[in-house]
Amino acid sequence: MSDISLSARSALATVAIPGRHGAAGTPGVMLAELRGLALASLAGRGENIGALTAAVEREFGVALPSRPSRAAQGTAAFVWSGHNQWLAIGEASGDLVRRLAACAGDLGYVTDLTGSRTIMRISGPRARDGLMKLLPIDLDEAAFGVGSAASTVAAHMPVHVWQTDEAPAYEIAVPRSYGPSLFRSLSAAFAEYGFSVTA
Amino acid sequence: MTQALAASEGRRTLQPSRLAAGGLIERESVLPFTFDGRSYQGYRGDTLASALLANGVTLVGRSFKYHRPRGILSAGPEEPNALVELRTGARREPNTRATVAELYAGLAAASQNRWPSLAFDMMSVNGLAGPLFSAGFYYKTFMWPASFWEKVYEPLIRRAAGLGRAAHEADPDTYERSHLFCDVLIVGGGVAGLAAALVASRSGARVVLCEQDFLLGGQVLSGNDEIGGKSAPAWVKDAVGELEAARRVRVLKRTTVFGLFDHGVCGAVERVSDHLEAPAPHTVRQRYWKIVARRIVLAAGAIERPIVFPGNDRPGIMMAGAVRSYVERFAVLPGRRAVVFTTNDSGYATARALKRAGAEIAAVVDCRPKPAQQGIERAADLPIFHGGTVTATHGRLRLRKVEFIDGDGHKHHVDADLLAMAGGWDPAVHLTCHLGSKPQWSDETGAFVPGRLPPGLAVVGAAAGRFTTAGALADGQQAGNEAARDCGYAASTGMASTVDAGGGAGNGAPFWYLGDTAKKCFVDFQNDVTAADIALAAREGYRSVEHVKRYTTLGMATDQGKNSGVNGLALLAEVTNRTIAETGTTTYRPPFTPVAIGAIAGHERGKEFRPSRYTPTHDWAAERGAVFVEVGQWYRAQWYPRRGETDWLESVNREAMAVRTAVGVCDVSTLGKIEVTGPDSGRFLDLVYANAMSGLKVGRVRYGVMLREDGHVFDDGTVARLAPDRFFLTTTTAHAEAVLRHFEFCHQVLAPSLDVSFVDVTDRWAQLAIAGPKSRELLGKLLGDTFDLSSERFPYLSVSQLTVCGVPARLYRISFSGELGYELGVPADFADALIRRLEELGGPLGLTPYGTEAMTVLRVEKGFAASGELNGQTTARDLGLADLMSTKKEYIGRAMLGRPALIDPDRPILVSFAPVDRSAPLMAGSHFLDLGAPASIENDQGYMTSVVYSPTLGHYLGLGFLKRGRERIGTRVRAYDPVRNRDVEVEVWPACRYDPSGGRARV
Repeated sequence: MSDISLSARSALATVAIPGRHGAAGTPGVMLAELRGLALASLAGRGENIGALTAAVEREFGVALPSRPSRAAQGTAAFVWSGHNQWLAIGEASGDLVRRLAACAGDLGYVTDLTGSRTIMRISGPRARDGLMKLLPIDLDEAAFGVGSAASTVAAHMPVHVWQTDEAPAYEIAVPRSYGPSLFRSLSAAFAEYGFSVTA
Repeated sequence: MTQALAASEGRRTLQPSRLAAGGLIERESVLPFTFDGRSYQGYRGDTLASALLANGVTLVGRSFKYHRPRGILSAGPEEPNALVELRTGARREPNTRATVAELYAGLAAASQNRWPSLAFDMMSVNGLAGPLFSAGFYYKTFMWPASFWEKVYEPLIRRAAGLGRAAHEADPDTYERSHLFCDVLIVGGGVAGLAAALVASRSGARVVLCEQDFLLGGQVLSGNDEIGGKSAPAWVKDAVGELEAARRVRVLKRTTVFGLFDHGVCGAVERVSDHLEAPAPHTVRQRYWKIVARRIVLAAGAIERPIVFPGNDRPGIMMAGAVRSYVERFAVLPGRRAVVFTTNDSGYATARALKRAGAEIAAVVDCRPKPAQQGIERAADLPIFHGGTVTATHGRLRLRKVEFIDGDGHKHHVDADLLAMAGGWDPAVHLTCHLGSKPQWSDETGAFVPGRLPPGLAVVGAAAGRFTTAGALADGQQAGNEAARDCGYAASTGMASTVDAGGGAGNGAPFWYLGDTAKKCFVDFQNDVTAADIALAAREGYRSVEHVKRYTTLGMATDQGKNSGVNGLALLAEVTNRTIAETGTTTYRPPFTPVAIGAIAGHERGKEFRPSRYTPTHDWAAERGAVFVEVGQWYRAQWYPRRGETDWLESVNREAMAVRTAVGVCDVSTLGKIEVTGPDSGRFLDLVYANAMSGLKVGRVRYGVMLREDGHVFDDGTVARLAPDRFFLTTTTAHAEAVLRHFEFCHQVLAPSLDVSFVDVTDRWAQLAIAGPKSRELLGKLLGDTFDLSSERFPYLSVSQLTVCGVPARLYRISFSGELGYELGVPADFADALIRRLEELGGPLGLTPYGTEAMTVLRVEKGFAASGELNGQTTARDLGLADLMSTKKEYIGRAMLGRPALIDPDRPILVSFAPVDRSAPLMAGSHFLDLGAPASIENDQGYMTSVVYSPTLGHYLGLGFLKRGRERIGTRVRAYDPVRNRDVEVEVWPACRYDPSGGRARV
């Protein structure tokens, strides 16, 4: 009998070396992987999602967005990912998936996606300029702000990106198997500004 | 005044043709450079061309076909002659226009297309054979004898063909792409573009201004206009200052907008570091911008048109506007004694500029008859000859003498080392044509002007056929305001008007004089196309402008007809008795000027060409020394060599035998995984799978086959039922995305009423195959008492959800190897820890990691189909799976799989093959022939799809499709591979060669 607990390991374990990279001087971009998250997909059943929306609001205090954007309360966030579809994000310790499945009940489909994405937080004065190189969407303040989200591609990889802070700060999610490739593309894009990777 | 030439003391005067004062160059920054190995000096702000001219260098190249001596023709990106090889070593680049190459300290350039030297080029003998090399000569020569083509003609032509040498080393520089969104994009930073940018910026719009030059200002940098009471360059400086300080404006210098695409998208290339010896650390060499604009203002200016006359290509014959640019902007005198040949008022500005700089004007030859003036002052001391034309020029390596006749027919000849041609102006309309419309000929303007405009694009200034500075200023302001208003911003206030000082504005229709032989009247300088070539093409029946272009190669050089197109089609119009409008133009396509492939590729070179996908145990496998193979984007461990193993087959055999006799572990996470939920999940799966799924019990797994609508097999995998309304299924690695798309299509289009949902969980679950007679024992050590692995409680084809070492997991009892086996799924982050734990526990049992090669050996021995057999051309019946097809339900593909050709008894079906000579290898891809039958398509009996060396059987083993294969079991056929010279006799066996009853997996 093995009573050993398995520990988690990031897809970026060998590529995201903590420290300063790229051009010298004050780093223009900060990059950090978000660990310890629980993820789930939530899809409405049929077209009447009013009841589902109400249930989620009661349980998490979040109104499910009806257009590409992110709504959050405390440690729970819901990011629009398609027609009547959302990516739910929470802390692993916060029992997100069970609570979501319970409150959704017959009103929606819930699938546990924990660990399926590599998610990175990108912030700093040059974060927008760097992401412009990879993302074919308008990131200007006039078009994309705190709460905006988009499902798009970055260097031929499917990504989900949203803005969490005006400074700016963004979070970008990619399927876990693409993690190292996305990290390398981001590193190349940020190199001219100098960037720092935090563990 | 010009500096005096050095006396013959043996020392060259530095920059003998540089004017002592004036210009927009930085005289404090002296930059040394070399050309053809000789050292020279220039200043920051020079181009290579202006620096060469300042140093008195006028011979810079040899023409492509005839190897005629050539000099600098222009001062812009349209340059056809001054193509040099820039830099050395890995950064060497051919065919660089000296007129746009910015000078930097240490620049090394060399002329091209000459041997042994520029001054003495052996290949100029081509010029003597001119008549043989007229238009279309390659369609008429090198035809006979046919055998000479490969051995003689082609090698000769290859050696003579091409222009310039590329570097052979890898490019040491990096490039990148970026996106840029804006309200108003302005193409061109001359007066018109700057005016548009200023008003748009003041209205609050997001503005992007692109200028290909390193200085903004355009034409006024070469003149002496005044705008709003200050010199034009000072006005430009203020405008640029305001724009660069504006928060919502981005000014991109050294940036060429090379193409207009749909939906307001433009492609542009920024030459970030071309003007430096090497890019700064972490800085790219060039950047490709994809600019998405709501409105575009095209202010790209106009290109001056040469004049066609005998001997119009010698070094020292230049465009008049370019001469003015060299004098005013670069403070260079391109010649001491000049003839100006003009068809319009522009030439006079050049004559005056030259005179002011100290050159002597030998003649101004104006092809127009003595005119009634329209407000252009003529200096009384210019020797003007109206109604005249240049008739001949002399000088081999440099212009020496010009012959012309005047309006009265009197012949003149003058000494001259510079001839400035002013043939009119052609608006740079190219971007307006990239979406398919053609420009329109305007008799009034004497040029092609934009035709039907793409939506959201406005054209201003010289690009629209308005050639005055005042016109540019007015146009720019109006267009800038309209664009800003269209984007929802309020128009802003106007600006100062211009005072035109100097700068003749004029235009005229193309003019030529061919003399008694049109042979040496050049139309396309770079491709050596003469007026005679055009006439010849028309005589031979090539009358369409498209045919003339290809037949003569007019307009096909790197300048893409910028200096030749209009003259060429005007000549064609005349010889074919049509108007210019009737003759039309060829099609302008992107890129406007050449774009380096590296800029478009950006970061995606070498390994980064496309993204890679890594399995959850990749790092562990790399530590174990795995050899990886690329399967699409995935890196998969192919085998794990051990120390001492000399050959991959040794490793693979060991791994396969370990699975057959002990236990092995293989990462199979790359398979597509889809979770299907909802009350109608079973019904949905019944629709997409050929075999029944809705009856599958909770806790059970089934092999499933999916067909295409046309009855062929699309994909296969396993389907596990976790709950009444939840299934988990796998697909092949290659088809993961395609299957999900297929599901979405089936649900949304074919069965929208079904209450079902699917999620791609490929990256959520790591999946490890644990296979071999000792696999149960190993799992028992891992799971302890928490799970009953006995065959009674967990029989073959079961699935269960459980917790393994604290993490949620799914255990499947399925076998691709044919041995007792399982697949264990855990969330991907925990796979690394899990496989290391299995290694610890499995050591004493002989646990062996195995890769894709061993996995293939095992499944081929079992006759299981995989990608090689699921090639899109096979049916379930071909694969021996006909019994799986349900007869009780509708499913995709059912109707079509009954077509006669798909149930023909003669169709090749899946069997296995062994070489008669047990030591012989087999090749996948071989085709089967009856023994003794000639090798022909008619006798083709089928083909081999997968081959392995089988350590179990001790010989090579193949799977393949053979006509009436089942009836032929026990007989022999020939496996024929003419591509790799193999011809092997093989025995036909049933597909499954190992444990046909399947008992080993069921223990």
